[in-house]
Order: sequence, then structure tokens, then C-alpha cells
Amino acid sequence: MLPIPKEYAKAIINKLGSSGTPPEFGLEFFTIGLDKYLKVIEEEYLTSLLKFRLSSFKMVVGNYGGGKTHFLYLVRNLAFKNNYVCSYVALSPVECPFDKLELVYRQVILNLMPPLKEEDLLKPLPKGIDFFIKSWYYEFKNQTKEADSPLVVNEYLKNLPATESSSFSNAVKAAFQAYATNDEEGYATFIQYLKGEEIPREVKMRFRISEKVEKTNAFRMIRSLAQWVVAIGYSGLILLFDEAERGISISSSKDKRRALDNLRQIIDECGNARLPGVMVFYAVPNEEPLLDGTGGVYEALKQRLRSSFTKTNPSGARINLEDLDVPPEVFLERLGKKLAEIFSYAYSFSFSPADLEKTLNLLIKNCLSSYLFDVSYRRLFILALIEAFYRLKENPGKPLSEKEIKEILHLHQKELAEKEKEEVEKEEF
Amino acid sequence: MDNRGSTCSHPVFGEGEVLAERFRGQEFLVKFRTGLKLWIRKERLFFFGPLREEKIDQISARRMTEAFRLGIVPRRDIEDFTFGREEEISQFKKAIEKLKKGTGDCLLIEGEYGSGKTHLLEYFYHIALKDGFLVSRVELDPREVSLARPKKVYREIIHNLRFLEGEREGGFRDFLRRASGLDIKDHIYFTPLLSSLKKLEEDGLKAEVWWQWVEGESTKEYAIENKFYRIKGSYKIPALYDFSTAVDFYCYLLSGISYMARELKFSGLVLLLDEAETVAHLWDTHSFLAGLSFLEGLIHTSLNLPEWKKITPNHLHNGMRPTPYIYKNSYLLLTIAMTPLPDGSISNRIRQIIKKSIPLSPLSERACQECFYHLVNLYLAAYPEFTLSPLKEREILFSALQRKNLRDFIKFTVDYLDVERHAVTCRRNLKPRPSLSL
Repeated sequence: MLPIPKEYAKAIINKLGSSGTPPEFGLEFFTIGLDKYLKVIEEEYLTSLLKFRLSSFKMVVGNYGGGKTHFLYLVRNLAFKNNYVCSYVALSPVECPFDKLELVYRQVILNLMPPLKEEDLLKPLPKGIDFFIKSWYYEFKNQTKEADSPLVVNEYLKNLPATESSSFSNAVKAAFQAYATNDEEGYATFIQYLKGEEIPREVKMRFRISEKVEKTNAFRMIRSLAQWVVAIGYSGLILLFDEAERGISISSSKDKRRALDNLRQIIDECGNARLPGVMVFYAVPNEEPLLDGTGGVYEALKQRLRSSFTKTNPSGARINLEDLDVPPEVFLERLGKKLAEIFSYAYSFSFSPADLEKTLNLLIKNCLSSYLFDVSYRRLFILALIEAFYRLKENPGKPLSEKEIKEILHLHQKELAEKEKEEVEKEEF
Repeated sequence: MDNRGSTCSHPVFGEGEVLAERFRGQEFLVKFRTGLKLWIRKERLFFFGPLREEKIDQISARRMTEAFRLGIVPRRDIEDFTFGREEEISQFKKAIEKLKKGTGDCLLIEGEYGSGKTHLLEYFYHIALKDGFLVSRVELDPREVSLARPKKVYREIIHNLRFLEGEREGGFRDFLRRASGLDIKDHIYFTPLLSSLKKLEEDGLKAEVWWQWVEGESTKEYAIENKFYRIKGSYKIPALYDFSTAVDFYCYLLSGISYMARELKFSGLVLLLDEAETVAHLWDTHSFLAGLSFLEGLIHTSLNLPEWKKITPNHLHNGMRPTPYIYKNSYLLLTIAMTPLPDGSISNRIRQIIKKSIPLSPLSERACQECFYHLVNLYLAAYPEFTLSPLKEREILFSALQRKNLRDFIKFTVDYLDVERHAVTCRRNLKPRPSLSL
């Protein structure tokens, strides 16, 4: 591992230690067993298939705390490296249910990010259509002589290829022009439209924006977004849907069916290369409850998303994070060692190799035996491990006893359960 | 690659002409001068002149492989990826030939889930489109596009309606723009409508509201805000009723479209309805009967039966503005795909009216093999660095043949090839262990 700057390492440890969820940066320093998937995603998709204006869909399956968000962030970073625009969307039954594609479109737009550099990831991430249009304008300005001339701006916009929805195309061009000419009010109106909100009818008429973002044209708007990002010079668009099961955990079976039908339609659009340069990642803890139904859309989805056999297939439609060809104890051991190294950089502290090994072994043993069937064992392990690191740092030369390890695990397990309950209650309606 | 017409020679049967080929060009159907027609392995034949080998470009091959990974056949490749359905295709082709001569018909395709009904409908869609028809394919759904709600089905048909005009694909609006030049005098809906459309400013909001209304969309939102955009049901133009009893009205509209298509020198209208078994997924009897009525109405409209050209108490009619089911003559080919229902009575009832049922049996082993070699061929074109031994190829084929349906068969084959390719890459990337030297 390369030396990590102290503050960088500290930020990673703090984030992991407080919630067990991954930070948005430095993931590569503690990633285990995902290389084969990431290699295929970069070599076969980001630098190849998507650049031919084709599209793809992958379902990411991993238990709670099983590394889905970690994986999606890694994909996002790879995508940034290859000049892709990304949108990471955490689906939810209220704000972003998958049965209402117009709301999904809105979330995609609100979370849109141009390719960011590694150092940008350390700061709060700028995102959304507003930031995106401004970045587009400044890119244009950097690359164009006399970019302030209205004639040059007009000429540039005129030559941009149109998207499937002329309303979308007209709105992004109008927003660009408004920003270039310091028309703040106009700019805000077009951003409002692009976010899927209502704008005055006279503005619509004047700028030939006839479509309102709604369920009947949400697909067309997403397609138009994809066409536009390619037209302005990016390699394509990566859509990362996290917590996807929550976007479908809707009360009525009618809504669930509609949500699944939307999912099937997205897969078919990708299979038919109707979303040029787009790759969709859809993360769920377990596809069984999602596809637990008979006939129609359930059968169609099962046949599209299930793996044909048990061998790990990094090119398959389904990426199984539980099946990394690394046994759980080896996985945790490698992860523990990597995190110990980051902790060492963060606090300029050297673990006693014997103490570290003893603590790590005890933690792995107890974590796997007591929580063998607990789906969150990876997240629990991380939380407990970081706590153990702090204790080792406070009491050098005193490795943790089994009793202490069990106490730590119990404490964090309780915390995680409460947090999960809180989240569920928050969204009950 | 097409080697049909090539001349070859066989040590026993003598000279002959190639009629067809299969298994990635490994076997040829040869018509010998003796009159014999046989499939012969490539190595047993001597060719006069080089054989043409199929070269698939890598991008197309990658595109198709990716679709197969997702368990679907990409629409644009459907014609090159249909195997073992010669009989069904021939029946459909006969029906469209009949429609070209002015006689509509109705076909019923029945098969279990995953047997390839949707695939076949997609194939029909392509051939009908290329053959100068107006085509629309609709996937029925008990909630969203239910036969019990004719307006919703109409909207979906209109939304998916396509035709080819040279290289360009046109939709319903393009069709109506062309139809506005026709002299349709007595259609209670299209006569006033076409004349109104001519007067509207093309890009204005009012025109847009009209278009949406014609397409069966709700225009309530516009109408509430501004009376100017209110399109009322009046004596001249009846409203697009959303009643389950308005089946006569929508059949009348569809037959009207097929009539106008014919007047505009199209061959007719082809409607492809998928998942028709959903008509029985309704729990309330009224909706179920309404759905069945609409289906029967559509079937009779496609058969162009004279008694359906008038209003009679024998048929279901809406109470607001009853119309005959058929306007003048219908030029409609209706193709319905359906999974047989456990309760055979509904299937039987539909079968009794249609009479032309095409049962979709599982693909023959021969057709599966053909499909398999086609897949492998594509895969090798997509990943030219990958090679597959004949032994492994046979092993994959054998395992794939055990799969339960065609979609599963395709997905399994591509998955297996993927796993094999990654395994080969891993083996290739393994560095040889340095030998110990003393």
C-alpha cells in the first residue's frame, strides 16, 4: 500500500468508525476481492462497450453491510477516471420509488456529477444539474477562444446535436445561454424545468419547451440526458441505484408490479442499446423477495437477472458481492490488515504485530461464529475493529481479551439494529 | 454468409448446388444433379471457388452478446436470430399476403411462458413493417393496459403505431398528417378531426393538446386551466369515451385507421397483442366480460364480418354514441399471443372465434443447435482473442440443451462462454513459476 496522507487516513477511519458505512474517497485502500468485477467493468464496458454507444445493466447483490455502497462508489470513481458522468441515487419509497419514473428522473438530475478528480472527492461533493451546467459552461470557456461572445455561444449551441426530447435539448441550451449571458432569473427557470418542476407557460412557449416531465416521458427524458452528456463531450452516463429494494418496498402490489415493470423496461432498453453510452447498476440485498411472484413481469425479470449457474461470472448480469471467491475469514483478515495499516498512518501509531494478530483473530472468530447468520457481519466487523484499534492504541501491549471483543461486538450489533429500526420507522407511512 | 448457389462436388453424389447452410457453415444443404437433397458436412465437399465466410463486426457482436447476457434478443437483430419457427412464420406470411389482397384475419399464438411468443411477435412486427404495413405491438397488462378498458388499449396501440417511409420510421402523427389529404366524408370521428388538424398551427400548444387527445391521452389538465384547450364531446366529434362498454367505438376507430391506411397505399394494419391471457386475471366479473367483449370485437373486426358493420342489438354498444364495429371495410390482421390458461374455458372461447391457433411447441433440438452455433459464432466475433476447443463447445452445448426454455438456453450459453473466457484469461495471466536452478 502506498503511504496515505495522515488527514486522509484519519478521515477514512473516522467515517468507518462512526457508522461502518464507506467514505466516498480512499476506498481503493481497503477493497478486497472486487478486482475481477472492477477489471471487467473498466476493460469491457467503460473503455469499450459504452464507448461504442451501447449500454448495459448489472444487478449488484449484497447483504446489508455487504459492500454494495462501497462497490458503487468504486464504480463511480472508475467511471470518473474514464470521463463518465455519474448519478448515484439512493432509492426510497417516499422520495424516489421506482414505480414513479418521473421521480427517479428527478433524483438522477439532482445527483448528476461531472467527472471529479480524486482530490475533489475529499470535499463535500458538488452535484446536481445546476453545478453540472455551470461545469459545462466553464469547460467550454476553457476550451474556446472568445467564449464570452454571444455569437460564439450561439454557434456552439446551434451545432450541438439534438436529443430525443426537443424540450430537454432546448432547456439545457437555454440554461447554458442564460448562464453565459448572466441572465440569472432565466437560468434559474430552466434549471427548475430540468429538475422536473413546473415553469411559467410563456417561458415554455418562448423556448419551445412543450413537454412536462411525467411518467409517460420519463424514459425519454433519461435517454435525452444520456444523449446530451455524450454530445457535450463526456464518454457516457453511469446510473448507480443504491438501496433499490427500498425503492420497491411499496405497500400495494400494483405499485410493486409497476416498479418491476419499469425495471424490466430499463433492462430491455439497455439490451436494445436504446440508452446510448449508459450503464445502470441496481443494488439490492437479495433478489429473492424482489422477484418473489409468479407470472408476467416476475418471470421476465427472473429470466433476465438470475445467474445460470453458481460459478462466479464477472461479466454476468448479476454481480454477487457475497460470492467473491474469498472465504469470509480470509476476507475479514485481509480487510483487518488493510484497515490496521490505514489506522497506523492516521495516528502515526505502530501496532504490536502479535497484539494485532491476536485481536484480529479473536474478532474474526467471534464475529463469524456469533453472527454467522447476521447479514451485517462485515459492517459489524468494521465498527468493532476500529473500536478495538482505538483500545489497542490507548493500552499498548495489552491485546484485547475474548470477553472484551464479545462486549464490543454486542454493543455495535445493538447500535446497528437500532439504527436500522430507526430508518425503517422514518419511512413508514 | 450466404453461400447459396455455390457449386460443389461430393465423391459419391457428384456435383451439386448449395441451397442452405447451418452450424456456422459446418454443414451445407446440397441439391445434387441426381435430384437428391442432403445436408452434408463441409469437409466431405469440394467447392469450386472459395467459400464466403461470415464476418460479423465486433461492435454488433458485442451489442448482441450483451443483450443475450440480459436474457433478451435485441429488436434490430430479431430477423437474424430466429430459429426453428418456419411453420409459424409461414402462416403469418400467408396472412399478410392475404391482407395485401384486401382480406384481414386473426391468428392466435399459444405457448407456455418463455417459449418465445414475444420473440415471434417481435419478428412478425419487423416483417410486417418492412412489408409496407402499419404495425403496432401492445403488451397487455391487467392493470395498466387492460382489455376491460378499451381506451387504454387504444392509447397504447396508437403510441406504438409505426410504419416505414423509405428509410424513415413514422408514427401516428405522421400517419394522420398524411391522412389529412384523404377524402374521408363519413367517419364520425376522423372526418371532422382531419379537417380540424389541417387548420391548427403545427407547433402551438393547442395543436399539442389536440394531438394528445387524439392519441387517447388525458387532456384534463390543460382543459381545467384554460377553456381554450377544452375539447368537448359534441355532436360533430364524439369524445373518446373511457367506458368499458365503448368497445364498438374503439373497434370503429381502428378499422377506420386500417381503412385510411389502405387508401394511403399501405398494405393494411397489423395489430400484435401480447399476453392476452391477462384478460382472465381480473377478479370482477364485469371487467372480465368487458375485456372478453373487446377481444371478441377486435377479432370480428379483423375478420371484417358484414354484420359487424351495422349497429345491432346482438352486439355490445356504448350508450352515448353507438357506432358499428367496422367502418366501411377493415383491413386488419390481428395476431394474439397467449399463454394457455389453466381454466381452458376462456382459451377455448377465444379459440372458437379465431379458429387459427398456432401452438408454439418447444424448439427442436436441431433448431437449438443452430441457435447455439450462431451464438458461439457471435461470441467469437465479439471476443476475437478467445478461442474455444471443439470439446468444450460440445460440453457447453450439451449442458445448454438441458435448460428449460429458449431464453434460459441463450442466457446459459453466454454465461458459460463468459466464465470460460475469464478462466482462460486467468490461466493466461498466471506467470510460470520460476524454476529452481542449482
